Amino acid sequence: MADNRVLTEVLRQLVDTFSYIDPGLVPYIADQLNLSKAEVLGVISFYEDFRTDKPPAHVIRICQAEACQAVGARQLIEHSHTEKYSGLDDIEIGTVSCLGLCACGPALICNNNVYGKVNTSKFDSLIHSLARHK
Amino acid sequence: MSSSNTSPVKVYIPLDSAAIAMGANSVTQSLEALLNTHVLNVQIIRNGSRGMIWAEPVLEVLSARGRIAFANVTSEVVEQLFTLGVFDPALNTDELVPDFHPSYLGFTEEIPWLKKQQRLTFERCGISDPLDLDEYINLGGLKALKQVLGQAPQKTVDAIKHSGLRGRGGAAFPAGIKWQTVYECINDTKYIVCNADEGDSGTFADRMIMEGDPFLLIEGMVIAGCATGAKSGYIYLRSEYPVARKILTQAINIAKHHQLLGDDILGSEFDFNIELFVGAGAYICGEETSLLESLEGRRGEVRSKPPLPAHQGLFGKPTLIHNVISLCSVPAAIKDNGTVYASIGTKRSLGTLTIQLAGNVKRGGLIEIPFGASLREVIEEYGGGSQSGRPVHAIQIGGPLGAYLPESVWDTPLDYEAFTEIDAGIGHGGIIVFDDTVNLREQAEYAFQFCVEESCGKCTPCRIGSQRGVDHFQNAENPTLVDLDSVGKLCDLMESASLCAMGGMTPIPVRSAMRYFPEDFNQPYRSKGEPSA
Repeated sequence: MADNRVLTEVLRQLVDTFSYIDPGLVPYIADQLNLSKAEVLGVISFYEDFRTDKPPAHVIRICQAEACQAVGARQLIEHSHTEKYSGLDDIEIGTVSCLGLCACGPALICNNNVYGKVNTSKFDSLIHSLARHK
Repeated sequence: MSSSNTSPVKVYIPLDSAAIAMGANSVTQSLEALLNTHVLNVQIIRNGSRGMIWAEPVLEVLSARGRIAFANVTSEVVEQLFTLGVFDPALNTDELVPDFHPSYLGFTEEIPWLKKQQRLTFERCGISDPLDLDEYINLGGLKALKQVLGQAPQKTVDAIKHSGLRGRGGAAFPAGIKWQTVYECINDTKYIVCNADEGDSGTFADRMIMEGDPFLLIEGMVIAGCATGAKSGYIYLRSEYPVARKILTQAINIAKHHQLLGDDILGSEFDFNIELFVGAGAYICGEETSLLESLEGRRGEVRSKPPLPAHQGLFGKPTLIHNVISLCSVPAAIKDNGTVYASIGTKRSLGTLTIQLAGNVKRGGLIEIPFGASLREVIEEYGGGSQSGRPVHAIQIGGPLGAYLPESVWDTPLDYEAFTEIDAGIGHGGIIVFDDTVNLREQAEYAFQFCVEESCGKCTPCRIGSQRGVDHFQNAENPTLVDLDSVGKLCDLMESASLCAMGGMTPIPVRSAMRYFPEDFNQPYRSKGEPSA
């Protein structure tokens, strides 16, 4: 019998272990769980966490939600888009909607570590420290 | 309690995400480094957060006369406190003048911000190590469960009914009706599902209680299982909460080892198990039917109702699905058959509301008070005004699908029905404060944008309507003028024809912005603080 329940467990384990899902595994997963490739891909594409490209060493997600907007998240995100942060090989910068750090925003999460009250200079020093510890 | 020379001085530093985000881990490391280089008899306890997020990291020291607290502690402050003898067993709190150190807050229990609150659900949060089960029991934990295990299920369901508890996830549906429905379903398999997919901006009560008092959630779920006849439960936790994930995993294991989960709970004949399921980054999965789809391993697409989850929920079985705070409120709610809980609050909004005060506010955090206080009281008395020092201009209450409210309605009491009357909702109790640099046109556009990103795509009004909404803002022939009539009609359509609250409630922030802040809709995108071109 097709088992979807196991599917998300498998995908979660893959992401937790390898930080992404190799698309080459999709036919194998589908076969093992008696699902169609479309079903597997459908689930993968629905969820933000189930990425199919290998992330760089450091992944930063800046909270873009309202509570952080109220204390400067828009400006912080704009700052992260400036030229000095484009083309960093080891660091990927993106956004997230809410980290539950709404009373100490702007917040971000970097490799599962959380940071609060991140202003542009705190952001710069975080990037700097990541670049040093390659 | 006395601290003799032989027993260590207890120092508390929270392990809560917000405290960590503000530096609690490095504060702990600094103190540990001090302990390595000096002869100090100190025991560091990582507790939950008391909810004073404005003061995090908070460091507390247990003195002979109670716990004293220090706010916004850094590694430097730790060094200074050490020099001042704060970690000395002979510390005499009588000698501590209020300004002996800028971080000093006095006795924790006397801090007005905390003292004014009435904590029932958050009674224990921040007091002890969240994984110390003995402390949980010492502080009153498991009393409710023990009583429930020894009584008829209907009696527990009745207590929930009498308490007046309503779902704290946002919809405020009477919990007793849900419990009775699931209890009456005849089925060998029933489920308790805890919705811990707290994705609404401005809300963090679920995260705080899961990190700070995880056994309370377990106790609430076991009680719900015992009362409705369910033997298994799932916690659907969002992946954006790595600390909560770690703590819940440990708490569930500890509970299993101590017969709080598994077979014959606490020596009774009741069996119950809990499985932690980690979501994968989809806001929509906070909607209950989408959550169930996701839990079954599929795309988190919303189901049409009926059937209600109480009749046919997870895997088609009767399912009691509740938000974290609802389940965590159960032990307090059923005390004395619900009479105590029902005596607190207003008309039909009974018990306490766990307000999460956030955004541009001086003293944000977790505020648990009876229903009925006004928004203004919360912002002024607890919040202390804006963080930026500029005038508070707008308040969004109830998450991204909640209304933006101007000062003219801040005297509305926090009561579910009173908020319905002003076309707003309390939701999960998240309050976001904005100062006068906010542009409500920008916020209204963001509401549509958010819906574009997070819509599950199943129904057209939400999937296409949200994109049309964004188009109205971005493609207006004259970028300074948004066609408010068309936006209004679009809102009508989304409200009446969307399958769930995502599309159905996105119009709430949009309409409230247009209605209460019209001045922001006929001007170019520019923060008010900036000079005009």
